Amino acid sequence: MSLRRSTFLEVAIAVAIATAISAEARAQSCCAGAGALTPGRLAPHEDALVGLSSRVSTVFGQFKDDGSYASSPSGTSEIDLEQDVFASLRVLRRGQVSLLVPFVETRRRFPSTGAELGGGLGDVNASARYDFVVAGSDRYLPGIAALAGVTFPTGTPPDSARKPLATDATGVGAFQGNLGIAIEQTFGPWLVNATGLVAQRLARTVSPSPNAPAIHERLGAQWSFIAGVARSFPDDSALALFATYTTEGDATIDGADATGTARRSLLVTAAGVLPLDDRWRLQGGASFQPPVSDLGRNQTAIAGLTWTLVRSWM
Amino acid sequence: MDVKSLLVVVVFAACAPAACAPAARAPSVPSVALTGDSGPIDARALVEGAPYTVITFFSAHCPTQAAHDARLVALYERYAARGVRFVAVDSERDASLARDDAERTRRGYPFSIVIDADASLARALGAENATYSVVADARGRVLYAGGIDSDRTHLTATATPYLADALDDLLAGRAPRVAEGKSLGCALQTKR
Repeated sequence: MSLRRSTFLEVAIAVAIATAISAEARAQSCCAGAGALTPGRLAPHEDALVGLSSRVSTVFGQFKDDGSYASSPSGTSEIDLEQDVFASLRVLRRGQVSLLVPFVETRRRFPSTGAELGGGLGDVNASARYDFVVAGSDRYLPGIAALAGVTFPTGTPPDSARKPLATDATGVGAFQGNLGIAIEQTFGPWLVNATGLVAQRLARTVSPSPNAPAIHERLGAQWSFIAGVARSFPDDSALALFATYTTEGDATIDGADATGTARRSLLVTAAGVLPLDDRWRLQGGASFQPPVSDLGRNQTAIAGLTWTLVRSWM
Repeated sequence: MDVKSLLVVVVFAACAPAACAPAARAPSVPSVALTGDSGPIDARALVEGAPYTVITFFSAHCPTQAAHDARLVALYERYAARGVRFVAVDSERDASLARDDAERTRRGYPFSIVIDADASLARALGAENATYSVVADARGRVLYAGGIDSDRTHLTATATPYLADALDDLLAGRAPRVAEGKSLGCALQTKR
């Protein structure tokens, strides 16, 4: 008899985390996908699910390399859109594997160039999760899960973009591996969660222009720390509130550190789950980067919304 | 030790065998101490004297439990007249006689809720989530284990009535058509 649980606390947290990570990825460089976590986290009683997710976010400012914040200049704007198709499948007793296929669109506008719209297939992500201990099953031992994922460079990297404002860039251009650990515990209708993730990208060769020599670049390792709380309600809906801190080291170019390219950001996310019946549910989230200097570095500041429709099988 | 190795060590060190191994169900109701309105009671006493007893594991905060309150009462009304005994067991760490008595009244349960303070009965019978139910005979043999039906919180007319089917089969002298039904309730928040 497998372990089952009928609250959607875990799902609400997954939505919050996926919203936070995806928003963060968009802010970086049009990486698509949610790393090691997808909006398709299975609730303990579920065996499989498929879903469709849609995100919209707007860039309202910029954190510079010294950490100072500046609002977007007048007349400039960026709106990022993403649609994800995903599926998850239960494996073993407490494991799950997921696949996420993203489609990315970007609209940028500058006073000198006008508006430009581009997009396409993003970076496909495959991920896995295994719950060694389920939250709430023990009074003192919290839930512990291992997370892993791979992001494939199926999108168009920025250096291959053809449009003047690079709105057709939809991916990072490098394989990315993710590992993480999630710890969570329940207290009646409440759940608290702490998740740590590390992402490493493989090096890639970039040709800035036909006449320039190729360079070997590798983005720095990215660490994400997520902490938050969720609450379930008698109708099995749930709300979650999270903070995500992400830091990334300097990139390397031709083996040498590219000083000043490190990044960091803080993202606050609210998410929720609303079951429509035992097999369909709506998920949603809102994310926001506080426009406070030193909370970010080499990042755009974004605010975004996500909504998702999920069909599951028990 | 690099970070990856440290993560592996932490995860496996934290994975206590009792928490990570699949719960093995005992073939019969064990002799473990419970607490009822009248004081201490042995779990075996719950099943003695009745041809069949339904032991259903209860959670005060689980939406699935709340959704199945009416169905549990309907099952009692349908099968109690045929000699089937019903009892709910609260194995959660916040269980108390006063709280459970109030819950029983609020939910209209015509059967009692007993407390399994250290979750011994839950572990023995493989109960890991709310609404998990077993049907035992007078000798304590477990003949059915699993969910009440195939619905979770949104009840439908087409749900598979695992528990009712098992009781119908047993009262007709047959083995249950489904001996283990899928259980969909919240994880029981036990002490250990």
